[in-house]
Amino acid sequence: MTAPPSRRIYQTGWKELAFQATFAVRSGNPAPDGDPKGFSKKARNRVALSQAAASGFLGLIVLGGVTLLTDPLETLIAGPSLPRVLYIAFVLGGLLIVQLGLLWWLGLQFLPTFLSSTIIPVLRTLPVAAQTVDRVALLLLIRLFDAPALTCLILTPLAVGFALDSPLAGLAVVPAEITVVVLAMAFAIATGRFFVRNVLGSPGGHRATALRWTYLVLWGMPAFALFGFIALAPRFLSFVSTLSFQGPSAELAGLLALYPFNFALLPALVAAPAPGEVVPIPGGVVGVLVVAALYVIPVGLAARWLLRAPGRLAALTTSGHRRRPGVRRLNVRVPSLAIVTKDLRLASRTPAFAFLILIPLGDATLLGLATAFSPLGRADPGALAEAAVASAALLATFFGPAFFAIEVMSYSYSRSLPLKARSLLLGKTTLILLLYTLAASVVLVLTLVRFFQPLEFGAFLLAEVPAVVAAALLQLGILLAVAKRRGLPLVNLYTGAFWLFAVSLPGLFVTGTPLALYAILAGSGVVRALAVMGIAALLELSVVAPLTLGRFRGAAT
Amino acid sequence: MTAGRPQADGVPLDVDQLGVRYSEREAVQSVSFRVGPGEIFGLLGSNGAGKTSSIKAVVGLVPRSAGAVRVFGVDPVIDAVAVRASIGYVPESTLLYDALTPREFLEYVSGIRDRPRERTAERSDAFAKAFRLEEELDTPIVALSNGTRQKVVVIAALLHEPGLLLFDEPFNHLDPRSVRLLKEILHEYVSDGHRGVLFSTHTTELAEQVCDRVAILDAGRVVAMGTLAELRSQVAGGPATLEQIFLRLTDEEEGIRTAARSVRSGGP
Repeated sequence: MTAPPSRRIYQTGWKELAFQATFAVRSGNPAPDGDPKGFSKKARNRVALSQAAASGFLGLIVLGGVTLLTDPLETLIAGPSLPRVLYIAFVLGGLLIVQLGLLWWLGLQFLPTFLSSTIIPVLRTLPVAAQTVDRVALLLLIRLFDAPALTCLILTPLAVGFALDSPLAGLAVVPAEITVVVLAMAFAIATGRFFVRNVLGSPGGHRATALRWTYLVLWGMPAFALFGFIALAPRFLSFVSTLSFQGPSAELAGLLALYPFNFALLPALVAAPAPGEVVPIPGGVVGVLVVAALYVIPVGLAARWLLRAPGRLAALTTSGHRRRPGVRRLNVRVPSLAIVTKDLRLASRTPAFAFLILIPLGDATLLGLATAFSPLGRADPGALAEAAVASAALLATFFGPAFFAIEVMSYSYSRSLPLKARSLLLGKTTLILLLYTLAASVVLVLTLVRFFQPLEFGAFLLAEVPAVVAAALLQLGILLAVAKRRGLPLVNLYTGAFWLFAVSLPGLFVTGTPLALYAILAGSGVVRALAVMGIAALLELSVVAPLTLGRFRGAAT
Repeated sequence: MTAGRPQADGVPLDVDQLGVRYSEREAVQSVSFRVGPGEIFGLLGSNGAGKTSSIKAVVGLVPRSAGAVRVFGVDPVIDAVAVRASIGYVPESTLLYDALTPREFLEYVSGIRDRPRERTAERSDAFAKAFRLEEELDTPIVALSNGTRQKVVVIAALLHEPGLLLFDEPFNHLDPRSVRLLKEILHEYVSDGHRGVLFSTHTTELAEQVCDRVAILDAGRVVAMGTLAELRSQVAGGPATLEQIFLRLTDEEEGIRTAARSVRSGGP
C-alpha cells in the first residue's frame, strides 16, 4: 500500500527544509563542498542533533521546575502559609508559562527557514490539491516542533507523577501540556503572519524602525517568561501566599481561573487533596473542571485554525510600501559601524535575531523592576549590582555569537566585498558591548530609584567591560577561524545549537572569571574586590585581543 | 592599488591557464584571457560552460585548482581585500539581504568599501534616478521584483567607481529601458581608457552588441577568442552572426536539429 500524497510530498519537503535549515542556500549561502549525495543526510542529522539539544534544554527546565515541587524547596520559597494544592498549582502554572514561551520562541526561530525554503509556494504551482498542500505545511511545521513538543508532552507528566508520587497527577498534566503545544504553535504562526505583513515589508526610516521595534518588544513579552519566572517567582509565591492566608477571595479565584493556572490546578487537586480544605474556586472541584473546560474551546479553535494556517502563512507575500522620492541621502559609515547598523536593521525585520537583542534587555528590565518595586526592605545593593552586571554580561556574551549567523545571509554576495576580518570582529564586538551596556544600564537606572549608589553600580559596570570585550573577541575569533576553514557553520540558533554552546562556553568563562573573583573577595572590602575584578578583566583582554585581532589580518572570508 | 580606482597603467584582468574543480568535476580547464584597459570582454557559453565559475574564481569566491589570476597585477588569493575593493561584481543570482531596503543595502556596501560620504551619496542619487528606483529605495528588498533587485545590485557594483566590473549575466530580469541604459553605462564606463569590464552571457545578441572581444567557452574550455571579425574568419563558410559562429564552434548546430526533431516526435 502506498503512502497518501501528503505523506510522500512531506517526506521530500522535509529533506529540502532540513537542507535549507542547515546550509541556507536560498538565503545566499554557497553550496557546501563535498559529496552532494551526502548533503541531505548530513543536513537531517544536524537538524536532529539541534532538536536534541533544544529538547535537552527544555528537559532540564522541566526537571528544574518539577524539583521545586519537592518539600524542602517548597518551604524555603513559599513559607508555610501557602496550602500545598495552591503551591503545586502555581509552580506548575509557572512551568507551563515557561514552556509556552520557549516553544513559541523556538517556533519563531523556525519560521524564517520555513518561509525562505519556498516549499509551499512551489507546491501551489503543481497539480496538487489545496488540502494536500495545507496538510504538508502542517506536517512540516509539526516536524520542526516535534522533539521539543514531545519532551513537554512526555517528560513533564512523568516528572510530575514521580515528584508528587502520584501517577494520576502526572496524567492530569497531559491536558495542560497539550494546550501548551497547540497554543505555542498557534502563537508562532500568528506572530509569523504579523511579521510577514507588518514587519518584513516595513519601510526604512526612523519612525518605521521605532514602530518595528515596538512590535518586536510586544511579541517578545511571552518569550521573557523564563526570566520572568526566575526573577519574579519567589515574590509571586509570597504574594499568593499572603492572599490565600486572608481566606477565599475573588482575586485568588480569578487568578486560579486564568490560563495556565486553571489547568495546573487539576494535577494539584489529584496529588494533594486537602481534607476539609475549600478549593478557592466557586463550585469546588466541579468549578475547576468547568473553568478548565472553558479554555478547551479556544484551544480547540486554535488547533482547527492550525490545520490550514501554516499553508496560508507560507503563501503570504510581502507587499512593500512605495514612497515618494525624498531628500534623504545615503549615510555612509566606517566599516565596523556599517556592520553594526546592518545587523540592527536586519534584526529589526527578523524576529529570530531581534530576540537576541531583546532577551538580555528584557531580562535586565525585569530584574530592575523587581528590584525597584520589591516589597523586601533588606536587599543588598552590592549583591544587586553583581546580579545585574553578571546577568547582562552573561546573556550578552551567550547570545552574542549568534549575531555571527547574520553573516550567512547573503553570504555569497558579501564575500565579494572588501570586508576585513578585523572590521567584522570589531563590528560584532561593538554590538555585543552595546547590548551589555544597554542591559546593565537599564538595571542601573531602575535600581537607582531604590538605592541611590551610582558610583558603586557604575564602577561595577565599567570593571566588567574589558571582560565582555575579551569574551566577544574570543568567541567571534573561534567562529571566524571555523568559517574561514569550512564555511559558516551557524545558520540559526536552532540548527546551530552545537556551535552556540561550543563557542559560548569559553566566552562565559571569560566573563564569569572577574565576577567570580569579586564574589570571593567582596567580603574583605568592595573597593579591593572591584580593583581585582577590573585588573582580571583587563588581563583577559590583553591576552585575547592580540590573539584574535593579530591572527586575522586579511579578508574576513 | 588604490581601493576603487584602477592603476593608470594597469591591466584590469589577466587570467592565465585557470582551472576550477568541484569534487571530481573540472568546471574550468586551462582558460586564459585578458581584459585590457578600456575593453569590454565577453564570456559566451551555454549553461554550465564555466562562465560563472571563471568569474567567481576571479572574485575569489571559489578556489582555483590551477593557473593564475591578476586584477591590476594583484592575485585575489594573496590580497583578497585589495582585489575586492577594485572590482564591482554582479552575481548571476541576486541573493541580497532581503530584510534591508535598497538604501540600507547601499549604505552597508558603501560602508564596507569605506567610500567618501558626499561623493557616494551623489552617485547613488544619480543612479537611483537613472534606473527609476527612487520610489523603491525605502522598500525592503524582499518586496521588490527581480528586475528591481537586479537594478540594486548593478548600482551597488557601480557606486564606488571600480577599475574592473565583473558582470555575470547582468541583463537578467531587466526591462528593455534598463537594458539599454546599462549598455550605455558600460560603454561610457570604459571610455576613459583605464577601466575594464568582464561580462558573461549566454545571449549571443547581447555579446555582439556590447563586447569588444569575446571568448567562447564550451565544457570549461575556451574554443575561440577574438573580435567578431576575427571569430568570423575562424569559421569556414563565414557565418554572419555570433550565434551562428557560436553554434558552429561548439558543434551544436546539428545537435539542435536532432533535439528539435526528437521533441516533435515525442522521443529520441
